[in-house]
Amino acid sequence: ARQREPVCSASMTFPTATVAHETILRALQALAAQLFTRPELRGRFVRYALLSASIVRRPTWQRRVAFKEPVGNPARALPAFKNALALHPPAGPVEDLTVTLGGITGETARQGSLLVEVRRQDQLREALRQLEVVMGKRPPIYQVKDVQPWSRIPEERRVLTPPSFP
Amino acid sequence: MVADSGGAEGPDASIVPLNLPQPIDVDTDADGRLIAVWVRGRRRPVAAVRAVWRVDDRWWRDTRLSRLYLSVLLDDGLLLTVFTDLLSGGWYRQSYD
Repeated sequence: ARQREPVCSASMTFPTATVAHETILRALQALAAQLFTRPELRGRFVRYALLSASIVRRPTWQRRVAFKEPVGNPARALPAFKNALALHPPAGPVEDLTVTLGGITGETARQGSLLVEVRRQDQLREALRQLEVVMGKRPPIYQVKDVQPWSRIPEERRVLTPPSFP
Repeated sequence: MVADSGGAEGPDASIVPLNLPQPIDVDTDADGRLIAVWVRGRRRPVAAVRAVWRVDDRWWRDTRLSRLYLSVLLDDGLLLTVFTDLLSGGWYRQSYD
């Protein structure tokens, strides 16, 4: 059975439904700040956020925000929230707001290896994971692999395979 | 890393073969010798044949393979490797490295 991905959510309700972007943005930031203080996110990073809002007499507003690289604090998430709000503003007064953070990374700190090649592999692996989150599917990136480089039949020498890491 | 070239996928969808033969239109003389190839819709006469070699393989299998490769210099200076499939008679271009 497929394991459900762990996520973290927080919600708030406005005393009065609002259309003010600044108010909504401050609320998003406050919710993110609340989430990052939770024990399950302490010292961790997230790859994306799901923003949703109940709109007066309108369908729920929802945006999926994939961060360019994993973020570990609300200040780093804010520019992406601001962008999402500016590009796709809610269609009416917002009554309540929910922020869900997902793609929680396993590392508790971003510590680089002393070995250049290991660091390079780590960076590549991380970049591919983030790309998968942004695209919503496995990115069409392959690596060239020698299969039978000595073969007299050219199409048997090399293939493209998904990237693999030692 | 390379981007997806959109090549045909084999039984394992995650493995994409590289450098598959690409069909090519050619002109031959009465003796069957290659005199021109068609590249991007244009007829390119063959200026010289630099090398010829034959590959026979998989003769013990149903997927027997028999090809005559030619490394040709076209009139505009382009170097191309083509082969004729000696079993089907078709012509293809393929890098041989």
